[in-house]
Amino acid sequence: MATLAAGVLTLAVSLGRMGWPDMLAPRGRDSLTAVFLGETRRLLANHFFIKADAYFHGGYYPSVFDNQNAYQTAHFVEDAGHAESKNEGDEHDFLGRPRNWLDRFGRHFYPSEHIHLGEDSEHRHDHGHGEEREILPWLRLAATLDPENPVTYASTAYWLRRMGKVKEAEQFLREGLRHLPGDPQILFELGQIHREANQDLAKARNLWEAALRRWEEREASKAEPNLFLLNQILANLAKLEEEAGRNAQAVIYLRRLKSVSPFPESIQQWLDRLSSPSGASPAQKLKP
Amino acid sequence: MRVIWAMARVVILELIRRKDFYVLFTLAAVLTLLAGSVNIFDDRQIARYVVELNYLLVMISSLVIAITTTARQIPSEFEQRTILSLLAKPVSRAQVLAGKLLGAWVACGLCLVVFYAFLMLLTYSKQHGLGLPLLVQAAWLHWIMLGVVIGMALAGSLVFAAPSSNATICLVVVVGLLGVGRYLDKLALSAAEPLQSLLLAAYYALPHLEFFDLRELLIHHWPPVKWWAVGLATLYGLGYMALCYGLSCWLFQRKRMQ
Repeated sequence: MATLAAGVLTLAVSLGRMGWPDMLAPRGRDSLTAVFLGETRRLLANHFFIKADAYFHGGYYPSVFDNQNAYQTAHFVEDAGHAESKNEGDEHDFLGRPRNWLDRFGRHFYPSEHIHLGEDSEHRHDHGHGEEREILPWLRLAATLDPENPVTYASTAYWLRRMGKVKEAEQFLREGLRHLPGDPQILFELGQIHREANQDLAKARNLWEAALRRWEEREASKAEPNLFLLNQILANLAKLEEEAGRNAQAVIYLRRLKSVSPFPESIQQWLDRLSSPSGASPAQKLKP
Repeated sequence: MRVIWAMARVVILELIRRKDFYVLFTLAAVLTLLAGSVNIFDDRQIARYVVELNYLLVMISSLVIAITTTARQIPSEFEQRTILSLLAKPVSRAQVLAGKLLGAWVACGLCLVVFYAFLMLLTYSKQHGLGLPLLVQAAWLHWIMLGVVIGMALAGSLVFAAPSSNATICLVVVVGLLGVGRYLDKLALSAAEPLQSLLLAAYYALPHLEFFDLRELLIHHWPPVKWWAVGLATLYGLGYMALCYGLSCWLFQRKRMQ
């Protein structure tokens, strides 16, 4: 076995020196994975993506034989605000009541309590913040195997940002942009970094405006456009403009947002607040 | 008991002399260290994926060692024609089988000690020390599971013609039990008769090896299992070991010695 491993390693190094990767894959390293794994890499990437969600739950996760209604949208993506939830089940009790004495006894030997990493729980109070890092290897692997899934980049960057790793988050998003140039979701998350971590409002505005333009180009003509992302972009732009005291621009974004939002009433309230004289922004209030 | 232990010692010495364990341990250690050396977002505290990989390799290696060691015991005695001289001495067939079973089980236990010590060192080096009680429980239940697997392989070695076929079938059955054993009753509910009854019978009759697999608890730092549950699982495993041993004795009694 050791000889076999050494042989494979030698062959890989030799092929690398001979320039095989360029011949096999014109676009470099990632395409080499595509050549060897084909479409399997997407299946594997999906497997690792789900594994990250299983890690996020500390191993409390339904198998293919269990009720998966509450786990249709990965919770770590949902918490990152990068996907609309399609979960309609009871995430705390997918196991249901024990079916028989073997099932009841077996539950002592695997996780049977719903938790999210980084949050205190009844039985795991000695573990705490920072545990979210454990999902990162699987996301890194998922992105390597399927570099064309923007959700992987955006949600990974969110968790990196939450852990204070802003530089790494930005680098990872830029890696994503190399694979998916101008992707609106990645641009949106990049804007979040500049808005929240770097406090660079001008850059955040530019990035979100770019995200909005790209959304129009790519999603608007689709039969089922990603309206969830549009909502996020418009809401954040409106909030940014309101904070900057540019209420007229904020109103434009809000009117658009109202037409696509699942909660038009609350957007109308926001619009009313901006239109009323007392609804002036903090920046305007400071003006003499 | 002295006779049984004498035969068990031969099995243990055989495993020490053979290279299976050393190769598997080196391979597991190298692969784990390689995985652990990868820089993921410049965070050196990420540890659970390394523990998971190492635990998987330990599980595979221990099953391979247990099954292959046991599967060749009786056939090699027949092949080298030493079984007749062994039974000519005042040693019963049951004692021969007990010696083989005990030897393989103790040898696997020694391998597990090395594997788990490495796992513990690995996690402490990553600043993520595992809780000792859970680690002890995981190692103990793992050993009990190997006892059941060894019992199955021993019985299989008296049924199947070649050690290779016995090892392959045992490995497939064990992996199947670990993977879907827990869900056989659920599968039964969605199946039509007579498959439904067959699956339900299998669910209650076959050993539930998942009771001995604390992988998820260990990887995700859950608290230890209640000791009474560990005790019950131990009795459950020992019961299946005894069943397999009894079956092996019955098969060996019926086996012709030519």
